[in-house]
Amino acid sequence: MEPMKQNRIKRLKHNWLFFLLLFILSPTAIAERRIIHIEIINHLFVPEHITIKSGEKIKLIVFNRDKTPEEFESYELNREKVIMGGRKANIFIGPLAAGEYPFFGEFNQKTALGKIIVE
Amino acid sequence: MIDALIITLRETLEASLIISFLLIFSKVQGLSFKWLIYALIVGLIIAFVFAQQMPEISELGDGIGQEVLQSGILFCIAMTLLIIQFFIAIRENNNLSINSLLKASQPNNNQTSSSHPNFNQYSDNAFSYYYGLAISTAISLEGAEIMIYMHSQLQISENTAPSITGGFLGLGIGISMAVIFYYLLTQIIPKYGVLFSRIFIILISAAMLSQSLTFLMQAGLIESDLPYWNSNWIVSETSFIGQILYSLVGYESTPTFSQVVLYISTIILAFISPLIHAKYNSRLSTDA
Repeated sequence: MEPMKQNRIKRLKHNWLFFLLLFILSPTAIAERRIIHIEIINHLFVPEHITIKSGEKIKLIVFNRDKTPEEFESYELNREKVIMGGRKANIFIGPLAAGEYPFFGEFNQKTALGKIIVE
Repeated sequence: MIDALIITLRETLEASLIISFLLIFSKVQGLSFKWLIYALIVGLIIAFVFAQQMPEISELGDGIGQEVLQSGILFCIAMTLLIIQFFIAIRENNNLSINSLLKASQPNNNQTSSSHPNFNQYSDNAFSYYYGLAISTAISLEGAEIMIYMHSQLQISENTAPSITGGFLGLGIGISMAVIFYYLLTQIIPKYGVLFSRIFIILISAAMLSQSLTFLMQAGLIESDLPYWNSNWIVSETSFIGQILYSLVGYESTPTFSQVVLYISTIILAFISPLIHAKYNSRLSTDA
């Protein structure tokens, strides 16, 4: 094989390694988002409303202070996650267009209601 | 009671529909339905383990264990279903060509290829394992969620009776819908039963792959993007029709661009791969 061709193949291999590294490290970059905390107390979200900017990416940390489990659910946000009693859950959200995005606790749909307001 | 009914129905509907479509394949192949019993038992055991271990699973990988598990399981179910429908399509193509050959050589012979097991390139019995794998994994996730919910409701004495009643009603409605689909496709339009089942299996698989991607976005492992469209004004995802469409074709009112691409490319690949296989095989046979 010609040396030029060999070099090109080597370079291609290095490019693949670079992209692989980029893919692996991308969660670290994502971790730099704004963190917003909400809690579940007596089957209620506290605070009920969160305001973020349009296009912003956030990391929502939901702390379920109740003894019973809850499922964070939102059709508008395409998010669903079971949060066991006394545990925390991380949910990555965004970017979002301006508007209102309701979320609810699937196990207590009458009380556990909240909203993300995107300005 | 209504909450328990809705939650159980939502969680059981998709699995029930998959069961009915796989039973249709099974019936056409003349297989015993024993695989379903084993799959249900294994699925419920795995669901119990998941429900028990959910607090620990959720904490894994800095709080993304649940999403990774759900994403992985959905990927496995989707791939298993896609493999099943691929081999079913090949089996149907083989039967069609064999039937036409039989008719051409023996015009009075009414025997169909399904009574000739040797005609099928792929052993029908092997399908039972794939069916079992798909169902047990499909039940494991949804079953775990129902178990967690029911356990939480049973801890509150006044919720016990309504939750159990609602749970059974939801389960009953989910199973009834699957039974309706099974009889519709096997008794009313039997000629198209396999074709329709294949179509729904492909759509459900594509939706599962898309959902698997959403879980990776939720965990922050893949960058999310803005919704590509919003069709909530046509069919709301929270409505009854929206829920049925979600279970049947994976309806999503606000999908991202990557979800749309994955969904459409899965459907295209699933439909054309058996055709490419048939074309390649016919070329080989003409060459020979």
